[in-house]
Amino acid sequence: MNKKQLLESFLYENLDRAYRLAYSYTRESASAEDVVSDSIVKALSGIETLQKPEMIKSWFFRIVVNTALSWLRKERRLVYFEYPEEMEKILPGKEDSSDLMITEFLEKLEPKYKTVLILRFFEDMSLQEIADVTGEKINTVKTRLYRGLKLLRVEMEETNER
Amino acid sequence: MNDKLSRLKEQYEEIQAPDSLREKSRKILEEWPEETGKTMTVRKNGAWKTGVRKISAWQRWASIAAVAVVAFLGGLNASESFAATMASLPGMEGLVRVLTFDRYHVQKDNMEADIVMPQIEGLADQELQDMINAEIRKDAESVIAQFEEDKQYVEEAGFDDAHIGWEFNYNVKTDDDELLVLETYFYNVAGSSHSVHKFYNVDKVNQRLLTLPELLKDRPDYVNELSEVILDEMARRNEAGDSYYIDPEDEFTGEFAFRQIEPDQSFYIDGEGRLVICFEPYEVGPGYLGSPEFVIPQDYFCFSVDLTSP
Repeated sequence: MNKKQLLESFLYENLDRAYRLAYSYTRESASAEDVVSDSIVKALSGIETLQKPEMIKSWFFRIVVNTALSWLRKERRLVYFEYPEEMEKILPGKEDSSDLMITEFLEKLEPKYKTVLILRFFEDMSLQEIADVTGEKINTVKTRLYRGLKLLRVEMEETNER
Repeated sequence: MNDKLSRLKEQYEEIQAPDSLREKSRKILEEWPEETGKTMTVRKNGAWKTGVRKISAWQRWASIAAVAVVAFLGGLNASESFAATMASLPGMEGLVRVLTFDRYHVQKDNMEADIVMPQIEGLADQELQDMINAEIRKDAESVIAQFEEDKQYVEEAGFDDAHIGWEFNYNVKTDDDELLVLETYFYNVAGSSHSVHKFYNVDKVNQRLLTLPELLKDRPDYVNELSEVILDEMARRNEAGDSYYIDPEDEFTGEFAFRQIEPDQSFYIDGEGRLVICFEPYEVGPGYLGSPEFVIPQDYFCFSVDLTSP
């Protein structure tokens, strides 16, 4: 299997994950689609930078995160509207307002905290993998993780670092 | 893992990539060539150039990629976030306005690009607003991509004295309680100049984008009727000596003359509610006439919001 085929099969299985990650920044589906397809184009043109097959998830997520962040910088003021009706489409039947909703989570958290929380708890990535995605030191990732949890007011448990 | 987090995780996992993205991804992957280089001859600015074209499918995605590498200069209107806040308040949705959203300016030697990208905001119909804004953005980005392509070509070929200029900008033609008319245009100076204008006629009351066939639905023969008005006006201007429109009867040039408008001809509604039919340079006459406009007499057509209410 060459690198392109590897990417192809990775995307086949992980497109939802990539889309979710993009969506968590754009919070709007058309732009999330753009971020993902843009990331695929970037991944294809930079396929040579993928060094080890087992790195593909961190490698591709890194592209998605960077693309999404530059999208945010460019579009920052277009994200001001919320899309409750759209969110309902995506999250049918989740109307428990007493609980913290994913919408709120995505909306309120600063990207740097959002990224580490999503990757750690939703994507079950190790601290090292997260550091690979964000291009930061493990210690930075740790600090952000704890701060992020605090912001969420989640009682801190052992977070089982791998 | 904590309950709160597991519930969030469950919700997070319900976010699913839409089919359109699946389809798009499949297409990108499929069309991406296996080989990295391909020789081809292209025509650029009147000269033929043979070279190795890096990736052909790339071109299709060039505008996306160009935007990713292009550094946009910040440039939001100062009052923009205020307007955004206002528009999101209940009862304030009517605050429809046009803002300069982004600006991209590059000047190097004789090469210059000035791209000013407007966005409409405050429309209650979010879908319509997004559609218009996406189209404007796409146009602006494709102008940037074309500029980058020209610039690269000029640099590679070493044409130090080549002049290239790309401009994308906008005008607000009409803005009152009923209508917002936004005109975007791009202008390319390379030897002879070339421009393309687009008009977005937004009916604020009914939250719709106006189209010519819809506006003139009570005038089934409007293509002929308007064309006649325009031909008469051309003849009048020719006689007055302030223009030169090609005479359709002229033995040599007649075949280039204007005969009929398109059913979806460019148009806008001006502040008085008059219909103005627009043409691109060279479309109906010599380039020095610019982009001719023809104001249609009000006894033929006058805009009112009742025309378009559903």
